[in-house]
Amino acid sequence: MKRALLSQMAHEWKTNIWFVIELVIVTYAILFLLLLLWSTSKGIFDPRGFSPDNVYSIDVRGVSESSPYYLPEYEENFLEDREELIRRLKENPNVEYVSLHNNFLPYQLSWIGSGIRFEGPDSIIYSGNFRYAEPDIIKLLDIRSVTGKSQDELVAILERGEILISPDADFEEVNGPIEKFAGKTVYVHGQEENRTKIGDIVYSIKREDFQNAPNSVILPLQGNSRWNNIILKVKPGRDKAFEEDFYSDYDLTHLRNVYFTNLKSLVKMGESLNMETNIKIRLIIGISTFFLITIFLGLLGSFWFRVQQRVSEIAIRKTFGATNKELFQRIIGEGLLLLVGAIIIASACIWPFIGRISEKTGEKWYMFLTVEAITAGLIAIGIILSLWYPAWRAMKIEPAIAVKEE
Amino acid sequence: MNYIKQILFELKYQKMVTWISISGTALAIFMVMSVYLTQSLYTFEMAPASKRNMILTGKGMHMQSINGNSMSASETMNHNLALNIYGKLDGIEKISLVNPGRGASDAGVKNGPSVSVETLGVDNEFWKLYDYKFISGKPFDKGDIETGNNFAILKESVAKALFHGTDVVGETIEIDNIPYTVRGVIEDSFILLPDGKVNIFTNYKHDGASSGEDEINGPTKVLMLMKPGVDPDYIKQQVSKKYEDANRELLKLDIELVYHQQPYTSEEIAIGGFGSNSDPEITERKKEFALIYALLLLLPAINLSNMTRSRLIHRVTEIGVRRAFGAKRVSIVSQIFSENLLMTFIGGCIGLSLSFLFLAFLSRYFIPINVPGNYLLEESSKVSSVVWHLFNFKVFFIAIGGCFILNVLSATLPSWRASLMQPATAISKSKQ
Repeated sequence: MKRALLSQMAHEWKTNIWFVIELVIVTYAILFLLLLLWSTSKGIFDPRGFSPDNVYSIDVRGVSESSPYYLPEYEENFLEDREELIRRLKENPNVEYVSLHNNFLPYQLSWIGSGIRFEGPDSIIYSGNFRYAEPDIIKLLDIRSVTGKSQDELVAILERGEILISPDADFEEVNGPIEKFAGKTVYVHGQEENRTKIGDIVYSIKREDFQNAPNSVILPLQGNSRWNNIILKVKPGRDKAFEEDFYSDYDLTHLRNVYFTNLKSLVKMGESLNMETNIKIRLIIGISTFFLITIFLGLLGSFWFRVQQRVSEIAIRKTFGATNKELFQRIIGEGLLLLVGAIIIASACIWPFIGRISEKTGEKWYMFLTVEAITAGLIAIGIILSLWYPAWRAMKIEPAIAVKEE
Repeated sequence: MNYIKQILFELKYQKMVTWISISGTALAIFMVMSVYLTQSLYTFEMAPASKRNMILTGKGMHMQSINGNSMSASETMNHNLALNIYGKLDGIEKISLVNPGRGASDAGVKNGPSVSVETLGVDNEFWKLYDYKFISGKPFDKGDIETGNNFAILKESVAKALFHGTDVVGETIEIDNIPYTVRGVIEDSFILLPDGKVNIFTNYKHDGASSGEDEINGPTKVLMLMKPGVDPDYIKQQVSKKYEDANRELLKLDIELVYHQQPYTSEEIAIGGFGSNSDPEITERKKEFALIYALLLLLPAINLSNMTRSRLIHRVTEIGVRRAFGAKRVSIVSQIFSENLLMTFIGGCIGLSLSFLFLAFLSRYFIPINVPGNYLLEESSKVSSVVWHLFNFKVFFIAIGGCFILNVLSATLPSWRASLMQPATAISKSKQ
């Protein structure tokens, strides 16, 4: 049976060769698209390190000297007026937490890269994105400990002036598990006067949902900070009410030369920042679907013809006892054999270069193998779906009628 | 007439294959046209940007140190430097200087509602480059730019949000606590048109330090309307020379400007992917798109070619008989071509229609058109409201061209092979 199938396929080599060429092109296209899909989206599977729900960002600004509302007599009162406005924010019934920060906002791409040096003779240095905020930031952004400490304990760590760091695969490869560094004394920016302790290890904060999280160093913002960025969290279900207050209650947002502006929802900021990657993913899925439908139509049409051409052959097979299942398997098998041929050719052309491709893309060889298997699986599903109807037609052929017509 | 009847009969006779061929063609043309139309959203012309492709944009500059340190920076120009470089170019009809400002601001009415807005400082010439439709009021005039007062022109959605109406000329609004007198209200414009995301235009006064200017840097962006028939490359050549002139002046500051193909065409801005310190890579992007189009047409072409070939197997006798009665090869080839062309044309029309439906209702999921959180721009981001502006003869001819390429790719080989068949062989084959 198998031998007969192969020889029959050999008889139709001209059509089959076009199919194999088409399947090779589609295999490459889908292989490439799936690899692109994986490299684009794999970051989403890492923990985000924070929760954006009900969180807003606000800018603090000073009234311009050219404004008629500028009050020169309060020029020196900027910080205390800002504090008063923050106090009003905290007292708003819709607000849960408020924190001043510098570079802490998750969905933005700013980077303050610096290092901390561990006390000891080895001069071990840990580098990361320095994020400064008031201790409430832990509960505000729902930051979690890797070692199992509670959020109250993390807040207490920042209140003591200690810092938090996040796991770093490269650092741990050289220096061992990051957890063993909790409690160690460090010098922030490597400076003796900035001596403190690593309070705990927390999950790193992503800058975009689809990116790998970069190392984070969380430092407490202390004293009368000159930074003018605020993050706040509203109570669940109170977001609209807070937005209304922000835009209608003048006293909530203005005091002499200080005012709050640029209210942005963190969820919306995330949507905006992730939009490009989301669109890329949709495009990849859309184009892959196009290729699969193209293959589907091509095989459907050609096998339709083949079944029509082979009516008498199928009838004779049935007369000699071939079951419907056997006929069905034969037609599906023909399509799948073409796919096997295409996969072998595609693999033979690409695998000699896999080392170089792997180096360029940063993906391991087994990832290519997995993606190739998924590609073959997807195309196989397409083939089975497209050949189902011609195969079903073949099964419906009545032997006597078919042979009589011949 | 008989010829067409025969073609229609053949298409009806093999319904399944006709259906598959038309579907495959429709899908291919749908994909090609969807990619093309989506890209066109960034360059098509409609009011208020009816001369969009005649407008060049001079923005940003790459500055580096010439005294041995490694200082290299991407900056924006001050008003005077912008005028020195772009001010007196041959082939430019009008020039406007604008100030993109600092991004989002709050605009409101004293003791009334406020909204988050994008603002753009513009001069009086700006309104001659674009054809904004004024619902009330008028554009800025020279006096508005030279005066010390602040004026604003609101988009319709802002006027309605702040005043619940559009008849608001002379009213006062506050942007970041600075009062502005409303000079006019204009219709909202589609978000992907130039300045489509701007909610309020203010008068750009070029008053030095208060605009954040120093000796070189400042907030100025330059818009230039080319005279009809002028090649953008001609303008770029002149600007390149102006950069050299400016660099002679900047020697005293130990810095130089690096030229990167400014000013940019609307197509270069649409393609993007470059900054002030790199050249637009339009040729590379065009090659990428050519590859995408080729791939989108090649696979369906292989399918259609297989279909045509299979269909011809059923018609071996007919071809043999026609050849025996003296039919020329050309007539066999032309009939098969015509059949195929009719199918690709039907498929092409379906594909083109589907691509417009896609553009109107689904393209927002495939292009970064939304501005999350800015509800004032919701109406402006509806592609369905502008989709008919993209339907023109050029689009139609591109779709027809796509069908023709598909036809040539899919029908040439099978029809040629069919025409080569000897009558006796053809008839004997059919009897086997």
